[in-house]
Amino acid sequence: MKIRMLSRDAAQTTRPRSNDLPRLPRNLDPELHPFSQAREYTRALNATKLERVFAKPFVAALDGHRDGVYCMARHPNHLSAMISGSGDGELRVWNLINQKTVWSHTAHKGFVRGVCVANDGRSILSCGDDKAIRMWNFDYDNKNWATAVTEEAESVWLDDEGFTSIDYHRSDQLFATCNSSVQIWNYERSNPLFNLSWGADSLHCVRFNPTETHVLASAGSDRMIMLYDIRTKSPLTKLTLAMKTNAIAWNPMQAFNFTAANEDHNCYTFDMRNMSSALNILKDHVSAVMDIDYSPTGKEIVTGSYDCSIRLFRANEGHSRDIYHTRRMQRIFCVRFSQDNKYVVTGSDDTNLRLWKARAAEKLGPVSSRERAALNYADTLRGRFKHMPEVRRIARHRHIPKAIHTAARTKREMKEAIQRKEDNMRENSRSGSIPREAERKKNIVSQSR
Amino acid sequence: MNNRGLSRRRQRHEARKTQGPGFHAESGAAHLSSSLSAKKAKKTSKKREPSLAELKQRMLNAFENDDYDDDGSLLAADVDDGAGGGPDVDDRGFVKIDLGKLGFNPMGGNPDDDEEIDEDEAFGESDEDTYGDILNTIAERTKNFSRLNASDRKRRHVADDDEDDEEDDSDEDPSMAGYYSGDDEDEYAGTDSLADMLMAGVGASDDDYPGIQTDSDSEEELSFAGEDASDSDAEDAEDAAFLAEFTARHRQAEGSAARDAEVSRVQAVKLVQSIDGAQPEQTEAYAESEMNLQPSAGLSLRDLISSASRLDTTASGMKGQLKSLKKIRDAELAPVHSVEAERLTREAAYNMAKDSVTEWQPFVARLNSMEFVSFPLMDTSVSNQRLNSINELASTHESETALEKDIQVLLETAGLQNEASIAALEEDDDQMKALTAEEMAERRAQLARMRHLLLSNELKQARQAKIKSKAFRRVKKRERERKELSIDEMAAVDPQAARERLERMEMQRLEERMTQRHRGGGKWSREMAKRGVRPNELLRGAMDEQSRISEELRTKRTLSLDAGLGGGSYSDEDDGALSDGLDVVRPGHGAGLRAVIAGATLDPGAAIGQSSEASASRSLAAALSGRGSAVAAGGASLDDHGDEFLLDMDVTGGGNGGGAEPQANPFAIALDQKDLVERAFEGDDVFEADFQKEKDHDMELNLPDLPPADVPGWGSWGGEGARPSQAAQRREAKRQRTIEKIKSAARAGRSDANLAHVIINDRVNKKQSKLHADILPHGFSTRSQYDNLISRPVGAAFNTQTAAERATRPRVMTKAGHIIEAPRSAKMTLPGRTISGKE
Repeated sequence: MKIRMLSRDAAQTTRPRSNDLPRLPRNLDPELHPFSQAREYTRALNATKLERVFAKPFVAALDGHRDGVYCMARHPNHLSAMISGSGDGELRVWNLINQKTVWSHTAHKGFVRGVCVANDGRSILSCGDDKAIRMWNFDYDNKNWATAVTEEAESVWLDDEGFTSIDYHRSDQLFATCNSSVQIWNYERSNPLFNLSWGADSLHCVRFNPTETHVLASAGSDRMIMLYDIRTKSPLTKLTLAMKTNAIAWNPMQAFNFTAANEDHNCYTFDMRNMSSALNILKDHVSAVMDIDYSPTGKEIVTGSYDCSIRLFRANEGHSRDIYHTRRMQRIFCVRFSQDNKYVVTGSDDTNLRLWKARAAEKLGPVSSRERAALNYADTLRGRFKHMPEVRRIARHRHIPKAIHTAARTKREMKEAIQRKEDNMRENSRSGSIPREAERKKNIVSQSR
Repeated sequence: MNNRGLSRRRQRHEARKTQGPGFHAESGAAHLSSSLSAKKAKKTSKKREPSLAELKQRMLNAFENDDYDDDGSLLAADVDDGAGGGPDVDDRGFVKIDLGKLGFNPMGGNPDDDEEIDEDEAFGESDEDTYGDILNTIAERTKNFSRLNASDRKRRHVADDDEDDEEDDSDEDPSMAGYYSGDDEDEYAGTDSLADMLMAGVGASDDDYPGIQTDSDSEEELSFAGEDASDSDAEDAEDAAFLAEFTARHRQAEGSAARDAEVSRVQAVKLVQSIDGAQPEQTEAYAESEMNLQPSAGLSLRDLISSASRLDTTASGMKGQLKSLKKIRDAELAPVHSVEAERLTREAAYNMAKDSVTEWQPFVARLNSMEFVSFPLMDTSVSNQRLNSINELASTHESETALEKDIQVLLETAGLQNEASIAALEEDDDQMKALTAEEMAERRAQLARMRHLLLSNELKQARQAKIKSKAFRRVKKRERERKELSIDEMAAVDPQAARERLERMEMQRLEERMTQRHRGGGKWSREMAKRGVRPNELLRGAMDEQSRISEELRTKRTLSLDAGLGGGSYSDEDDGALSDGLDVVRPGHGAGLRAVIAGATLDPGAAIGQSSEASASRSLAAALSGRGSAVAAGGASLDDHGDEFLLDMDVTGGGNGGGAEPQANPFAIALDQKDLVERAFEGDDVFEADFQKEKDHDMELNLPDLPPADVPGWGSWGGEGARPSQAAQRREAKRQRTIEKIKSAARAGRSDANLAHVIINDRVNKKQSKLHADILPHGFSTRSQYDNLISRPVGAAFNTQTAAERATRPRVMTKAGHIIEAPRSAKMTLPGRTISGKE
């Protein structure tokens, strides 16, 4: 008797390796997948929900300082090294891997106002209210960092006034400090190479452009932002905003763009070539923005604010994509992105440094390729369907402190009231007599040359 | 050359100059002329527009004595050709300075020029007696000046090393440099007071003297400075700053000159009037002004000096005037204010910084437009690549320096830019070598002929394209048609084209049949008919032509058998012919077209009368497939046999198209047209009724609250067999009317009220609204764009592996633990494609 059997090609159904997935033949004809969009929408919705479920940005708090942390610097060659300075003059070097202090020293009497690391990574410079700049050797080849930093300052520079900020040149052996003027120093000389000043009485932030390295920007208490060029040893231009700028960050990938963290709760991105209008305004904070930093890709911005929250922005968008806060975290005075774009470190009034993930729901540690593909797919779907009302609602949902929530609502109401009043005035006056003012120009008072 | 160092040195010379007085009348006169010319040149160098570099060089020369030789030769050239300016010596031996003709002369003039003028000729003794005092003063100053020049020259030759130190020193203080560089020039101009005085009248208020070519040179200089500042990439910082300072200084000087113009002019006029008392008044040969200096004649020194003989004022009075003039001149020479100087420096520096950051623009644009970016960025520029061969290097090499670019241009013009072009060139060369001289000449002649033909044809076509004549076009059309192949010929050559043409002709046929354009349906024919024109020969000819065209157009054509489809040409009148496939079955003469039965609508169960099922199906298949034998209906009859149609078909012998004579169908059609239509559209009214019901239902869903019916038993008797009271009946009738009214209002208010076949749902479905984006997202211009995007699935379940991977790959990728550095060079190249697909 002949038995009829189903027969199939083994090669079609057997997996090549034992750890491969079983082959699943699919017919890709779109006619056979009439519900593909509906299925992907549901997947996008689920991915959005999961993203919120997994959003746990806080990694660690680094405690050790006995006063608020007011300045911070990352090491150019070491992802795990972070240097912080506090209000009691203490300087600490941190190892972010085990979240421990590897070295600490009372470097200044009074506040440490600024700290930076030389471009070769071999020395740390700090400046403070005690009118001194101190340079500390840092042997970064030494595996044992506890002994990497010298106990005594290698060099000390003194001035008549306290220094408020310090920054190192990207490629040359130069660094800039500021107080009533900007000084450019060479670490081999005892006096500044030259001073750059233009009528400001007090500056509190100076930043070298990391790409176009001869340009630097500073912010002063007379509400201005000044640009300088060390080639011509001359100030370039002065931009006065409606309120004081607390910090400046250059976009590391776009040599001509920088963003200023302002006292008016916003940050303003400018193109240094044309500052008659801001390129972008980053809104959402409800108190003064104290510090700002670009992600090393130049695509994102992190800001720390007096409202005790950290916000993450996409550099070309006007509103934040995320807000980080904890109950114990007080006012933020310094924020830095890690150099691999994965973490954010903040220093606040409550004497702690905090380590955060730059993307709240990102999985730490190694990811298998299948997992990676699934995550990418979920990301893509979330991006595709982000305009759907449900997806948008869930993606935007955040628990925020009541104080911030209330302040944001108050701000919104005030803004709407002002807007309404203006609209009414416009409606009841001769057309054109109350011109509309561009939002991006509103806060620019003047630009002097 | 560092002008700041020089200007400082110049200051020292000034100091020295005051210590060593001396008198040489002859050189004094010469210097007067040259200094005048210098001043003049500054004001009147309109004719010869100086380039920026030249201008700068002149400015430097103006402060520099070392360059006399160079500049002197330039000046000598200007002077030597007769048309050029320069001091002329007139018959009376006076130096005549033609203000209109003077070229540019740097301070202190040209020593060679000085020598050309004989001192005796230049000044007689009597003159010297008369004008001794004035000229003493003038000569003394200029003499000192020339002596200083000489000593300066000498000193410089000796001590060149000093220069560097001084330059270094002067580097330290740019504002001071600005001061001196501006000051210097005017200081020198100020030494010749008379010249100064004249210029105060002539130069400063040149608007009043249109005849004199003293166009606002300062403006030119300013514009040059502006250019310089804007494209200062070529210039270094110092130059830009210097030029900015200079122009600002100059602008200020101009401003103060304008302020002082009135004062100095009044003084100058007074002087001239006092000098030139006997001069008769002139009528207005040129524009009137207070001080009528004739521009064409030029002001000569003789004029001044001859009139000075009648001078009643003392020389000391004149001295005083000159002094006061000098004071005024000095007042203009205030250094540029430090605030202003700093502002200018900042502006120049800002422009420079802008330029240098703008170099990053292409990099930024590229980075932003990349489809995928992976950080840290990999620099794949040539300098960072490992090259395997010289060829690889050569292929990626881009000439950067000026020399390299020049060489590249030369190579390209010679056709040697790369290996391929060199090889091609060599091949050509070989071919040319293989030919003899006659062959080459022949080839060349042939090429020339071809070129000539091409050209003449082109010209002809261009000419003909412009002809608008209808007659010409008609003739051309006929010509074209004559040349055209017939459809059968065409089918033999190019069946595809023939088929297309056939389709076109079919369309024309249809059009003609519809419009009747050439059968009295056209505009022309209608006009003719309306007017009732009696046809004469010409008209008759035209009408014949029309009917011929109509006939031609209405002729039905098919391709001949051998061309592909089968079946010969059939005219419209060929009865019972099957044209193509089984489209049309014609029942026969007289009956006309009654029904159209497509092959597909044939009932498979239909009984086929008079011929076997097999043969019928064979014939159908043959006809449908359209291959081989021609099928002609021997007489397709339609018969009402119960509910069936009977299709009577005959198959004639295959092979020869149109082999069988079509026969008239003896059977009449039993079904009436009306019946047929009814049968064909059976059930359509049912659908319409359903549709209306659905629409009403939809309307009722949206009705507002209707008045409630009476509750049974209220207001009337209830129970079995009870009839509602009359009042209740009235109420009910009223209620019904109200309901009807509400419904009709609702029906009229619908947006599909006037659309019989449409139901428009105006309600918002809340459940569905969750599945739609409420606004068109940013970046999309139309809704369909967005719909397209989200309706295209990206998952691996709906796409191939690679497509899914590509679609879900993140645009920006970073690796944990890898430091992302800011780019170090704007020339860094980024691999990969942009969003728009460019490499």
